[in-house]
Amino acid sequence: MVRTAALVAYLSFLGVVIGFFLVANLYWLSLFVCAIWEMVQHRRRDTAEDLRWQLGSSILPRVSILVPAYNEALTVGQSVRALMTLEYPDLEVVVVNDGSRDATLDALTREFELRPIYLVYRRLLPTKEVRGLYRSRLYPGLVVVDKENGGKADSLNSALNLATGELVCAIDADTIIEPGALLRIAQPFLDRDDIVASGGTIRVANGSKIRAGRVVIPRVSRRFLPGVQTVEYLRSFLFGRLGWNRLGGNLIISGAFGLFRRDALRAIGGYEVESIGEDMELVVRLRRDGIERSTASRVVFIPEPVAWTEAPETLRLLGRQRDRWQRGLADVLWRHRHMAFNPRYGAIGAVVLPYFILVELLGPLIEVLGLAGLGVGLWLHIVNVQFALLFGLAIYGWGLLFNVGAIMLDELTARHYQTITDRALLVLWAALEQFGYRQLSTIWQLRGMVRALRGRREWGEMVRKGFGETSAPEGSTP
Amino acid sequence: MIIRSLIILSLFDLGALVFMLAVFFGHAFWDLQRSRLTRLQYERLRREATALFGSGESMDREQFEKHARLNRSVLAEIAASVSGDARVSVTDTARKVGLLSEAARRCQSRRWWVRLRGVREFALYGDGEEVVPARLDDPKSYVRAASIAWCQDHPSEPIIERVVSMLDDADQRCRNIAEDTLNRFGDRVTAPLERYLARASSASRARALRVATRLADPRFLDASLDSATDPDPTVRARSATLLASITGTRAEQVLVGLLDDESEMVRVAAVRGLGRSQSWKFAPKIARLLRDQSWEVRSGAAIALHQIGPGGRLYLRRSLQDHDVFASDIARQVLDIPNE
Repeated sequence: MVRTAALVAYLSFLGVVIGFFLVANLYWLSLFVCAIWEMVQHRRRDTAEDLRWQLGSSILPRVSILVPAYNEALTVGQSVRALMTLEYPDLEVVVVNDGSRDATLDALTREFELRPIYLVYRRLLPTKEVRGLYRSRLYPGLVVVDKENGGKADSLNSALNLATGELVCAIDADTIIEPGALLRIAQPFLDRDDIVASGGTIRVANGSKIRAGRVVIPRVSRRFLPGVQTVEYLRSFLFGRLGWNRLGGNLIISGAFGLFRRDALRAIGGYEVESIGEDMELVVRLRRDGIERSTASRVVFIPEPVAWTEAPETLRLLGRQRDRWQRGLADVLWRHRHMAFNPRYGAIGAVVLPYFILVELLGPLIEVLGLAGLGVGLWLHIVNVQFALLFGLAIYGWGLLFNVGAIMLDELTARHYQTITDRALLVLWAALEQFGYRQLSTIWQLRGMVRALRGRREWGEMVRKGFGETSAPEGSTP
Repeated sequence: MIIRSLIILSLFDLGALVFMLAVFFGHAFWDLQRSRLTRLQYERLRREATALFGSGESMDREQFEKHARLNRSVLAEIAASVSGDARVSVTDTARKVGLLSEAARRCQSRRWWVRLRGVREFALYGDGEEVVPARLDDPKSYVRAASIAWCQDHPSEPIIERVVSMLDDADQRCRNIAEDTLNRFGDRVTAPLERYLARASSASRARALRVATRLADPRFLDASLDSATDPDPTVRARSATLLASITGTRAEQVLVGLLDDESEMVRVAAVRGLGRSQSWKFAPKIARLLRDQSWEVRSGAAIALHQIGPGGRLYLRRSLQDHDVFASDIARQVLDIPNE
């Protein structure tokens, strides 16, 4: 009797695990199909289009690029110089020195001949104390805020208070933006006035040839960790976010490169300083606020604008990053829990948030339990080896299929990687991502969940190698 | 049953994987082969074409068709960055080799993305007077927007009139590009825009007023005076900006009146406009707004006083002692006095 009950319980558990994988794969398949459809539409619209005429145009809204910088003395000069030369007609750069312990402010002062100013601006968003404001003599569009340390969200809020652009572009200090990317990412704001945010593709820069703050030859990293992250980013952006455009709208605009309507950000109180996943939290709040107040709330992703970021190259750093992302996700989903499965929020409540809860948040837990359960089943001879192998093949085979789908989509559209070696490496990393890396990620995500439950909020110190030259801080969610 | 389903799923997965890898590598090899073969050739053709167009000559059909695909790319690249005689040569070549007739055929296609490509090709190579104006009525907004952009290089009177009327197009992108195109046309737009403003509804007036502001022509005075009493605050604010650009006693009187408008946006536009006039006689009226409820108005007033010069700054200094803390705070900020 007990044996039968245990068997029934085990089979029910296996049913839940199989059901989870079916639902997750159905989501991914839908995203993939939607991404292909979106890409086709995008290519049609962009056929033979040359946006350079807009460089002399009066219709493009002013863009303020917000650059939080913490201990960036070695790279900040080059990064800001690269930003000042982006192709955009009306550009302002607001760099926030977030109480750096190194000579970040000195480096900026020396490189850009900063002079103190007393700007008339409204402190709409509360931030840590601002110690001084500076403007460059060389580039009048460059404003530097020196403030007490308060974290990335606090720095962005401080920059938001000062920004004069109708649109604001939040980036990390080590993000490398392609020269024409800003012009492209601003296009949705010309098309519709209900758009509050647009995001572009972020790619992994590790292994690429970088000169004067520009990626001159994109390459796929030969090293395992950055290599698999290259594929992971492609999958996340090219079919994840592109697919969400059609399937209910995006909930994440990467903190490394996203464009927002300034007034919409100010109206919702800017970035949430208490949140660990401040970029996702901001977008969810923007959309929630728009729906609740029946105002603009559309968030779009466009595949072409490209920003490059440095991916962590060691297990320790990567583990910390993934742990933090998972805590951030849990935090955001908890804060906005009433939106999930709530018909008032349309597709976000019915499709998007359930995906994030079931697949992104609980997925790692179910995957580990599923694998453990399968092992137990094999040991107790409840399931046979044939079933276990086929089940594993189905799970990881589909994962591999989506990875290859993402790199195929990239090959047919963007074609950033030019050599056959790079392309072969992409396939290799796509395969290895499923075997070894995925399991490691699952462990880090589980650790993140446990820490989220225990209320841990710290970001963790993150040291990076830098783009072959210097070190930089941790990047944002892909 | 489950095993069978898993086998089917895995087989489907395997098939799709093989297909995608075949597409991926097939495309990669094709792309690699093509770029390896054509890179040097492309450079050579570009050098030849640049020299040819630079000397004002055009390419003949026979020469073009020797390397038709590459020459097409070369021509597109050069067309995007030349003007004057070289541009005429490019258009002439495009006509001779059939690119323009191909673009004309595309413009008649039933598929919108093909029509869009046709219009963009005309914008790139030039010409298209017979075909593109009809596309300004295209049902697809992308095609209409591309057609308006084409108009930038074809500022004939009927085209200008048509672009002015597109300021109230149903699609926002079309309205934006129409505004930009009119800005590029310069003062040729004045008469049609004046006529448009005389008949435009309140809803479509705001954008036209913005174009008029850039022209700053006194002929818009009547239209701006009319708009100053419009029920829509955006129209009134734009009217204030236009009045400030036109200047003159009448315009200034109305601007002073708009300082008491109920809308914050209008008061800001009016105070900024009066600040730009740099006339000290408005200083007392502007100084009143240092106590306005709205921060935007207060800061606009303070900056305007600063722009007026010594007379205005005198009012700012007096405001430092104002019992209204908001007025004294904004005066302090504008006078660059650090907070103590």
